[in-house]
Amino acid sequence: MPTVKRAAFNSRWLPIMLLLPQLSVIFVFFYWPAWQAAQSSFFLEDPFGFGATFVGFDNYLRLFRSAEYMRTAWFTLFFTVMVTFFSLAIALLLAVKADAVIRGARTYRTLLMWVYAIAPPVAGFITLILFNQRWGPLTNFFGLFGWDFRVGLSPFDTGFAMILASVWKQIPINFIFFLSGLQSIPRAINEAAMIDDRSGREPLLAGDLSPAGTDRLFPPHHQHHLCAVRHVRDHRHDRAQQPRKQSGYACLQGLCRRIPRAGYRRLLRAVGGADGAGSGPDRLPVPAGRTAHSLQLRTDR
Amino acid sequence: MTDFPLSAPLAAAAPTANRKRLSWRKAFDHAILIAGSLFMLAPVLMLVQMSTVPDAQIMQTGPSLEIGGEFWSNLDKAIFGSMSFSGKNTGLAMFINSMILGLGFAIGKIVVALMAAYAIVYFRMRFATLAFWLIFTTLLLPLEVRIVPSYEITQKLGLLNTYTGMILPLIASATATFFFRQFFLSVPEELVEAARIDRAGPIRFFFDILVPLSRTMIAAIFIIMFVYGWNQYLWPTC
Repeated sequence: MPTVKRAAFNSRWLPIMLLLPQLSVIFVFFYWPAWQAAQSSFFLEDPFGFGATFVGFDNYLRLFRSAEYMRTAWFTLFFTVMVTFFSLAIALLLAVKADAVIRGARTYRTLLMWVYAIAPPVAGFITLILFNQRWGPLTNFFGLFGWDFRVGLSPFDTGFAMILASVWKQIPINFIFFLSGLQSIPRAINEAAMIDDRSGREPLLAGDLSPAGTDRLFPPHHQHHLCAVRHVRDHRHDRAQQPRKQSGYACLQGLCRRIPRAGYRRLLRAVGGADGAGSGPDRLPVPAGRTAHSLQLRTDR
Repeated sequence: MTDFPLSAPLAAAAPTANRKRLSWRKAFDHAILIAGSLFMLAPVLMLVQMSTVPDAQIMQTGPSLEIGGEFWSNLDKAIFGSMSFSGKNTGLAMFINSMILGLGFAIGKIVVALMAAYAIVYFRMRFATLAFWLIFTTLLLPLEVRIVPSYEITQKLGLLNTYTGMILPLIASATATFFFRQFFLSVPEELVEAARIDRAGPIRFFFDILVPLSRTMIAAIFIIMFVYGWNQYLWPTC
């Protein structure tokens, strides 16, 4: 992808003026403190502020030789992997189901996104209540199975509670991203996948996961790509009377390969139809057989 | 999403033998969604229940299923009550501070990032790549890592105990700029060509075409940034 538009503007001072606020904020509040932080990492500061001694890499060596630091770092890695895995897995499952049901879909969505508004310290507070030693509901619940849950005393139990709380807090964000990715998959692709395999397993693995996955990584870029897919879908419309047997993923790939041939002119036309500016006589005619509505760029995402 | 016209004949042609299995699957879907909603919601409901009973009772028995009558008085204490000596440090004051920080941070960041991303993507500049990398490197060191020198610098600039000092250091990161750059790159090239043919200048193109096009993007980033600013506890307590 080019990093600058082909038909870029040639003004000399305007881009500098545009960049100035960002660059000045970054220099004052990022590079300056970052430089000071890096510099001071080579010095040993006097505890009362009377100067500092240069110690080279001693601070770093002490850090990496400290067993406690290494243990903490490894636990952080383990914690991150666990939270990422479980929050992604649960959110994906819920998003796929929320995308599949028709009745009550909006209610489910609202309920599942709700926790996004809760601040992390409040989530921690809730966890402390749930795992209270005397009357915590979850402590009692695990007690029923003979698990004597002790937050703050047993390392395993504490880690478990931390991971549970973080997964709980992370699910809504992942859910929102997954759902918006899933909803922008054209119905046609789902149908093609359903023709292949009615069990509902394969569409998730092949058809759904790939676009939703890219969406999670790169939402903005993906919009363009989806817009193109949607467009080619309309283009394909006349041929679709005899649907070929294709898995969902193969179908999507086929659509993507056609984008360059379908041309960016069509994309442009779609954008013109979106903001209502092209309603004058200079508007490009909508091809027969296609509704103007199907050409519109979705802006409600 | 508009329905693909194919769906109508397909649905009609679909065999009806699978109806029973399908309804089981629907029930299963709903069961998973209900379980997920309960998992997400139950802790919050528990918190609401706890806010309706006197605090002494909470200390004794913890959360229960009883709905007490103390909700409004508890809410009043939380919002207008103060535990500080001056009596100024109420929940409402903190709420207003969070609001100013969240709004100032989100709006400031979006304005700065929009301008910078526009300059990087739509202008032929000698140092465009360098500028991009200068901005992009800021993702490497989060504020928590450089918090002590940041505090020192804010103090040197005399910005302690001001909203500016709270907001500006938070703006110094590249997330929004990066998102807008990616989005601008995906905007079709023909738009800027057409604008130039119609003799629109860079400023007119920005306000009349690019900003309206990125409205959804701006809204999404605003929500993310606002929540990020609202949830800042470390930097403002410095």
